[in-house]
Amino acid sequence: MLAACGGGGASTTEDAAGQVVHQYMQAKIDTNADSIRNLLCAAQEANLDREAQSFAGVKAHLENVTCNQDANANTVTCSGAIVAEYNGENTTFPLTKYNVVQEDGQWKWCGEAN
Amino acid sequence: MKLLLAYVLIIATALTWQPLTAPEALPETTAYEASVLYAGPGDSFQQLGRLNPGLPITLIERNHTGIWVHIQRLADNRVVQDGWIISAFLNRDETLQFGDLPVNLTIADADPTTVNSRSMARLYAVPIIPTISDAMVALYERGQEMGNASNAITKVGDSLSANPQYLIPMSNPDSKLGPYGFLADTVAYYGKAAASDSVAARIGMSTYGIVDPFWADKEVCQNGETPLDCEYRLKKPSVAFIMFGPNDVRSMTEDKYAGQMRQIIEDSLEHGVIPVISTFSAHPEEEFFWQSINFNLQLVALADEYQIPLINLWAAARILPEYGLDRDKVHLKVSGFDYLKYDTGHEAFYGVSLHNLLTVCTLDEIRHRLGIEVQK
Repeated sequence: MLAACGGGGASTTEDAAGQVVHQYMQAKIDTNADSIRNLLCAAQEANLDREAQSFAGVKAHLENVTCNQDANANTVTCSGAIVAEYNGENTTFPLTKYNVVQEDGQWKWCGEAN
Repeated sequence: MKLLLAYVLIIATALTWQPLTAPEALPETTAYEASVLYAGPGDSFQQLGRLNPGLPITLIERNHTGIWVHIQRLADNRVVQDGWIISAFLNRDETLQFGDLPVNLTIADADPTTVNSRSMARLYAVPIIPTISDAMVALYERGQEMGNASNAITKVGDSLSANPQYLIPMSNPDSKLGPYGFLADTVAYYGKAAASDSVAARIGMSTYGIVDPFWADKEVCQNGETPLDCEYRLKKPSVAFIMFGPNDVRSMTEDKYAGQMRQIIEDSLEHGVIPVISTFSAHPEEEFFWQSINFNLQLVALADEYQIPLINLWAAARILPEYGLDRDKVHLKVSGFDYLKYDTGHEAFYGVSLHNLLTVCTLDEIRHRLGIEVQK
C-alpha cells in the first residue's frame, strides 16, 4: 500500500503519530467513544462527549486522508477531508494540523493546533 | 360534546343580539375561505363555529404577532359572530394594515386547559413571542461596550437554520410585508446584516458540533476555534437566533441536549450576544414526537433560568398544514421565495415563512425594548 485512499485505516506511509491521528479521525466519524477515549490525551478528556457525538447525526467517511508528524514538533498535519452526508447533501471538512502528545509511551490526539 | 357546546355558543351569541360596540374606524374586510372561529388567538381555544368566505367582517383587534385577528360579523346591525381567526385567511388588499389595529397584549396565545397532555399543555402555555427582560437590555449594553454591532444579527443551528430561505430573505429589498407593514422599520434596521451566511449554521450540525472546532469553516475560522466563537468573532452580532433539536432528538438524551444548549447560551452571553432560542416544530406521526416535546420543554426551562428570549415556534406552527413541516416531517416547508412575502398569507402555510415572521416580530420587540430608532 502506497498511500491512504478513501476511508479505512491508517496508511503504512504514515508515521506512528500520524497513524494515531488518522485512527482518531476514523473513531470520531464512527462515533466510537471507546476508541476515542483510548486515543484522546488527558487534557482533552473533558471533551469526550463532544468528540464522540459531534458526527452522530450524519453519515461520514474519510476521503484521501494522510497524516504525518511535523518535523521537530508535537503536531501532525493531515491532508484530505471528512465528508459528511445529511439528507442527500455532502459537507466537506478539510483536515488540518493537530497537537499530539506522548502519554504512557503512546501518541495521543490533543486538539487542533493553533 | 365539544361540537354541541360550540353550536350552543353560536346560537347563544346570535340570540343575545349584542349591540355593535366597535368604532367605525375599524377596518372591514372578508375572508377568502371558510375559517374556524376560536374563542382566542390559538387553536387550543374553544371553537365557536365557522366563518364563511365573502361575508363582511369588522377587524376588532389583533394579537401580538398579527397572525390572529379578532373579528365580528354583523347582521341587521347586530353582532352575530364574534371570535378569532387566522389572519392569513383574510382577503389582503393593499389597504389592510395590522399596524392600524389595536393590539391585545393581555390575551394569552393559548388555552392550555383544553389540552389533554400535561407536557403539551405546558408547552402551549409559553408565549409565541418573548418579552425582552432587563437582563437582556443590560447584556446588549455590555455587548456594545465589547464592540458588537447594534444592527448585526446571525443564526445558529442545523439545516433548518442553514436554509438560505431563513433570515437571509430579510436582506432582500423586494420584500412584500403586506399587512405586516408595522415591521418595515425593523426589517430595514436589521435586514442588511442578515444577508450573509453564518458559519454557525450548517447542515447536519448538532449542539455538539457547534462547539467542536472540527465543524468550523477552515477558510474563515482559526484552528481550534468553534463555529460559534468564529461566527461571533466575524459578525460581532448583538442578537443570535439559535435553533437546534430536530437532529439532536435522534441521537441524544434530553439531559445531554439541555447541557449542550446551556453551553451555547453561556458562550453567547460571554460574547455579549442576546441568544434568542426557539422551540422546534414536530409532527405527531413522527417517531420522536414526544421526545421533541421534552426537548422543547428543556428550552423553556433554560429561557426562564437565563431570562433570555424564546420563540415558541412549536406552538405557532400547530395551525399550519403538517405543522409547517415538509414531507420528511423534519424540515420546515419553504415557500420558494427568496424575499419576505406576507401579502398572500404564506405565514400560515409554510414553516419557514412563519419562522421568518416570528424572527422579525422578536427583533421588533428587541428593537423597541432597546429604544433603537430607525433613521428614515
